[in-house]
Amino acid sequence: MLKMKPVSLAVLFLLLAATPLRTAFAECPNTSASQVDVEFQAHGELKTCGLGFVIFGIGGAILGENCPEHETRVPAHQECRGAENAGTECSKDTDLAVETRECACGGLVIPGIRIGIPTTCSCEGWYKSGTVEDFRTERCDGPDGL
Amino acid sequence: MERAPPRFLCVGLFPTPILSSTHFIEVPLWNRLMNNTKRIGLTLIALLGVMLFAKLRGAESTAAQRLLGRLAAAETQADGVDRLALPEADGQRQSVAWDSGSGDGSAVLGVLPQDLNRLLLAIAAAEQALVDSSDGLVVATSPKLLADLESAVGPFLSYPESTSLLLGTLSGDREGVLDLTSEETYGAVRAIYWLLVIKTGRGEGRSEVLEVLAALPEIHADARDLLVFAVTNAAANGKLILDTSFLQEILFLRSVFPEALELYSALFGVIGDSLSAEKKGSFFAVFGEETDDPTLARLTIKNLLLSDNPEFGLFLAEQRLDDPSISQDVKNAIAAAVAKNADIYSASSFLSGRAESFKNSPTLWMSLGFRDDAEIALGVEYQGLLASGAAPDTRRLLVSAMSGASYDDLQRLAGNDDDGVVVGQALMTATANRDRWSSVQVTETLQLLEDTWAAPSNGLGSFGLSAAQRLAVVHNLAAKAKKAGDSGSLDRLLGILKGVATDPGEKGSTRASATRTLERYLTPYEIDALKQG
Repeated sequence: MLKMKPVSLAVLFLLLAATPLRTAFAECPNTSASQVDVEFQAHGELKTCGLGFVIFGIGGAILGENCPEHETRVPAHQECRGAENAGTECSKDTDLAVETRECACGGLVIPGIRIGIPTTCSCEGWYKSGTVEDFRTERCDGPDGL
Repeated sequence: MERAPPRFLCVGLFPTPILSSTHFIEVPLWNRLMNNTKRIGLTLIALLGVMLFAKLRGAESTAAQRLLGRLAAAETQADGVDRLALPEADGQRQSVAWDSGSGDGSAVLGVLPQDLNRLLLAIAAAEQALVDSSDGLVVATSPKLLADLESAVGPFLSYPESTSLLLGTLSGDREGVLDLTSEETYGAVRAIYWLLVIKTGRGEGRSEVLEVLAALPEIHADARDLLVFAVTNAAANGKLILDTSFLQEILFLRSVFPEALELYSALFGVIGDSLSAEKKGSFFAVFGEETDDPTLARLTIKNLLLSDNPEFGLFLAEQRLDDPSISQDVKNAIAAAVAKNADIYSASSFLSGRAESFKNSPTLWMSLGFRDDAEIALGVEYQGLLASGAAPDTRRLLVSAMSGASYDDLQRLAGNDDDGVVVGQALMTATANRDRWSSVQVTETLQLLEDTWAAPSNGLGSFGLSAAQRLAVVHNLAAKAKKAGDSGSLDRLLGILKGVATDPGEKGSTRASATRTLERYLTPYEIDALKQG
């Protein structure tokens, strides 16, 4: 029978005991969720609302804002994009609703950029048309965690 | 002809074939050789070249400043009219005066800068008056108000260096401050717009357009977007002013001003729309290797897909998406271009095959779905996956894009699919279209929801229908019921929401979502009572 020296046994014992720890460190991905800002996206035909007329014999227009046929709003949320953070992981939280609405040029439109003239790209109310996954940052817990 | 010295190389190379760089070395000789009309035009083009040169060599280029000074002095001496041609490079306004040498009868306005501000405000006020008087129409016809606008714009037409003056005004001062009110900023942008439109309509104006394009990187951030919007939407005689004839100049400016890469790339979007299918392919193929600029990547793929060889565009898009060295921003831009511009069957197959990469990009799928007949192509992909029972998440994404499908088709789909998240999405899509409504829909939809819904603590239905999906369907139906005046259906739907909002077994985020929807229909008192109850 092979006899092992006590030192060798001790080393072997330590190696075996350390294995679960090494496995635990490998299982904690050390990642965190990254913030994604709210997103508005225009779809379909994009019109420039405006008021047309002729001066000096040449046709021109007072230009309003761009008015999409459909608009989608994705709420601010977090995603797993590989950001690193020791001791945490990026994990699924919940689904958030994505919303859509329809718009059309509503008559008097002027770019409402700091000049107090009202802009009227008229849009309907938001309907919930889809979902986006939201994630969060969690500490690595449980028996194999830190 | 003697060889041009290197410091004028920029001017000489600028695409103006009538010019030679030696013309700008000897000012007295130039004065003798050129007539007034050509000189003014050449002055502007030279100014443009010198501005580019100064940009290349840095603002402290003494050679450029000397040339600017000599050109200004030449203008001051011309025609006996005291007019200083150019604003200083730092954007400070200088005293200028002009007369109505063009013979249009404009009144003499006196000395700036006071009159410049007044005219800018007059333009803004005249346009506001036109809007206020239009009474919802899209054409303005009031002769007096149109005359007011002409009176405000006219002086700029008769002063040859108006564009330079206005661009300098919009550039801000040395400290980066735009010393204009918002109304003055709007007036300045609109003055430039009218200069471009009217001069182009009269068969002139090219040099003004070039001057504006070259000045864009220097325009103050508070005014730049407004100016770009005005320039890209400016049309004369029914045709956009920014057309393919400016392609080479924009390419040149893009190379000269790398910090304004995306700014100039965006201009290709306007010009690309006016190219023929053949020219789209030949022009945008040049940018096939550009992989750092999401805007240009999107425009390149878009125009290649719309060219006479769309297969190459699709091939390039697939190649780029499979390239790990390309950033996700560029990949998202390329996918968006495919979704909006590839033929609907190719686009549906493209997204479906890469659903895992874009499963959290709902706008991408919806942008395909809003295209004509997209629901047919999406349905083909969906049926293929349903038959094999594969990829429920991809099926969900395909259904999320089916905004063009009929309510009945989506209800039928919801009844046939055995995955709760697909059912939930089908009901969301069916109820999100504003045109579809009947009280029968409420009953049928809620029945389907209740048949598939169970509420264990993790918020998922028995078939995976999520709480967010369930609340979304009820939210949509409630909005429709209120709009249709169907109080019976609305009360039933609000009852469901109240149940969710007050159920301690629901997650906090779910209860909060239900409460937010209820706030649209209940008084604050009722909401408080609900929260306390």
